[in-house]
Amino acid sequence: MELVRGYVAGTLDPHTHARWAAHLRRCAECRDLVEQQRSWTGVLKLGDETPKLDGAIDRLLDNVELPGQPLSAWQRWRGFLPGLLLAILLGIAAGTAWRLATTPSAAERHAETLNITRQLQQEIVLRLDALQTLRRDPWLADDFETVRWLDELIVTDGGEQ
Amino acid sequence: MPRVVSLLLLGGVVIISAILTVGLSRGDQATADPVGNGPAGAGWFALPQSEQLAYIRQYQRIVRGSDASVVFKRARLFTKLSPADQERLRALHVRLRQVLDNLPVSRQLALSSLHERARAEELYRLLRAEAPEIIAEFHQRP
Repeated sequence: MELVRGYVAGTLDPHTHARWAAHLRRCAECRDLVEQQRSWTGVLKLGDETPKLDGAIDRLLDNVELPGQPLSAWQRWRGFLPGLLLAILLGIAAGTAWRLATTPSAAERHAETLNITRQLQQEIVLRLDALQTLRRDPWLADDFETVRWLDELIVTDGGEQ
Repeated sequence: MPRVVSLLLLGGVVIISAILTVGLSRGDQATADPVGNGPAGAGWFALPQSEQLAYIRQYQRIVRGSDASVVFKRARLFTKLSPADQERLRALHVRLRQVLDNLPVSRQLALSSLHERARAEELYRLLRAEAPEIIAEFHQRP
């Protein structure tokens, strides 16, 4: 078995390795042994090498959170950051909404200087063109349609005189 | 961190953010009022205050009457006419007024109580009898 292990691990001297390789060409039983040794070595890593576990176990344990084990300061604050950002945004939104709802607009302040309500000012602005027309031609308020009908009569019947 | 403490902390952050937002935005104007938008609003704010007060009085006088919507409708219809038609009607009214002012008050009151169309027909008959030259003038006028 030493020979088999040595052959599989490649630790035999060249002369012995060559003699054993020649024997394996003729002996099926020994070839089976070699194959068995190879498969065992692959599964159990029974070579001469020592597995490299430097720090691996420590790294593994660092990522395992055991009950009752205290978190680091960074781990505590990392979970809090998204909530903190959301709270700041909510506060800004709430402050902005309150400001918009309570601050008088320029139009409202202007209406106050004129001692009228914002609604009355808005009504006047919407009818400003009509008010300007009525200011130039105040007769329109009472006589527009009468004058228009009269003009129509003059145009249609005036030539029949 | 205990959940209650976290929630209290976050609540405090919300309140502080809101207060800071209100404090830092002090003096900023709110979003534009509909009155301020558009040419009508700009025209209104460009008027001197005396003009604005005059328009307020005029508007209140019209609204106190029974047919404010009719009055504004008449003004809008007049503005839709061409400048030539506007000038024609304006001149016709001036001439008509000269004739009406010479009538007895009772006759004037009787005319004002008629409906517009009936009043127009009555005025036309009056012009044919009293001032036919006006009819001729405006019949020939473009």
